[in-house]
Amino acid sequence: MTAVPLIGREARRLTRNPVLWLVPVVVAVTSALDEASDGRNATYWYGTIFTAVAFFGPIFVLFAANLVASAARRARAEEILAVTPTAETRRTWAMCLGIALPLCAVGAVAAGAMALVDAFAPIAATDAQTAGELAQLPFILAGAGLLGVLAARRLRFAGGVVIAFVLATLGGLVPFGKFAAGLWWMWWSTATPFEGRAAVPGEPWLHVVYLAGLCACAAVAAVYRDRRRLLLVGAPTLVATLAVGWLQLQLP
Amino acid sequence: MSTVLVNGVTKSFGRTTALDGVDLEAGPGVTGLLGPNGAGKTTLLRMIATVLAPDRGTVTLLGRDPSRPEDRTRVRQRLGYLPQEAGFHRGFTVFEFVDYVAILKEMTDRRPRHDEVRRVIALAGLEPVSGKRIRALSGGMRRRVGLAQALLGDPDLLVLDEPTVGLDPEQRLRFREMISYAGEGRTVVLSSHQTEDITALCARIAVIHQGRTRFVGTPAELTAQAAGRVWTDTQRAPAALAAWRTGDGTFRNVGDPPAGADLIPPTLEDAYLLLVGASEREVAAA
Repeated sequence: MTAVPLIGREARRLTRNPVLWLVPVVVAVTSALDEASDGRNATYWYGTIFTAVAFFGPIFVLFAANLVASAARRARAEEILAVTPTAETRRTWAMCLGIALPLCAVGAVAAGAMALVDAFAPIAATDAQTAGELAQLPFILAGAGLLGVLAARRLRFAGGVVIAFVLATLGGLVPFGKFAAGLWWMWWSTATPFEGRAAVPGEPWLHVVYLAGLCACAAVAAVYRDRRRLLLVGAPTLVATLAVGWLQLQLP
Repeated sequence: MSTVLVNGVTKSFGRTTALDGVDLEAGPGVTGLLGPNGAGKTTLLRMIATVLAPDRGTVTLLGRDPSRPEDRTRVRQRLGYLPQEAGFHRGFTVFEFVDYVAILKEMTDRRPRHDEVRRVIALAGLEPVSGKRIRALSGGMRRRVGLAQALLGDPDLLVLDEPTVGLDPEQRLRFREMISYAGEGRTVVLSSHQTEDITALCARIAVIHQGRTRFVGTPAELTAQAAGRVWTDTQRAPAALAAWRTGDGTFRNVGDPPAGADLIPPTLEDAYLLLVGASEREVAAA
């Protein structure tokens, strides 16, 4: 089984990508510049962790994952890798898992940290997130990484990832009318610690499933290049994801 | 049994026919493909490396049919390949890149895999730069990284596309050493338009020109075809296919000599020039 060492190698490549390490830098800089009118209390740190993982995180992760996934194409190393016995499908699966798993872990750690802050210094009900909302964080990060892989596989030209970013953002904004909600950048989350209202109305746990479905759709679309297998695996995944997406909006 | 058996292979890219009914057979030892740029050597090697499939004809590698996915995987387990424009993940160190390819070559156990990576790195003379990032290496060193990854797992079939291109004389000699070592007991198919490399390394050669096989045999057999067709003179012979002034001031002429010409023993390069020239005339006449 080449899968385990290969997944480990892809995970290592992602964690060594300098773009990913811009997240803590940017969060540190913005926190330092932030006036923090109410002081740097528990609510402040709660919101900072959330912003790092749910806002800055996905943006930088998308670009970092894309750089990792497109490295062979950019370096013109594809031909060397293509003639190894590990088929492209398996290599891409390993890449998807190598990128998604550590990001899920980071999201889970962040969610755990937020829960811990809330446990020691209870956050006001308008700012606090439910368990279902916290559970979305791993999938938000993993989804951004998988979108980066998908862009590397499908938009095989310089700037493809920027197009993916713009399309994904617009695609999220338009159906959910986020501009009106005043939280346009949070298109990927039902949760909001701001203004006491959900950015996406719906049931948070079902939204978790919906986000997991989006992750699966991105991975399947990245892995399967031939139309038959893409249709065979992708169509049921997409239908199930859309069904959950629709269902979560029907529930309060 | 031949390791490589190419039979009547044709391959086109759009309107350009890269290969037109090519046959080739290669067994243990070093087989060289010789031909000018654009002759179809790279296309043929990419087929032998299972990168491309032919439009017509058959390719049999290590007794298997690479057009079948299962066979293709089996062939790839015993194949090493150095493409003409080998690129590398430039952020990797030499060791990391070769190790990454080793994982893709299904070497899963860490310790034996690392031993194997160290072995091929040593074979390619890359030990001193093993921990260096590939982007910091010279072109010649990168070429060696390419060869190191191709040698992983001691493959039965080694396909090398222009392995010595862009190397300085010392690096070329070093490469020849490595390739000649690799050819002991294994099948090595390499392409070059450097006749010196072919003469130095290959037991068998195939000359490809304009997508067709023009000659298959030993270097000595090809050289023998030019016997009586190379001569020296004080001036360039108008009828010569190629002529150049040598270091001693005389002209070396290749072609059809005039009566009484001062004939000299031909080299592989002379024979190659005659063969390619003849095939060009054939095509022009057609």
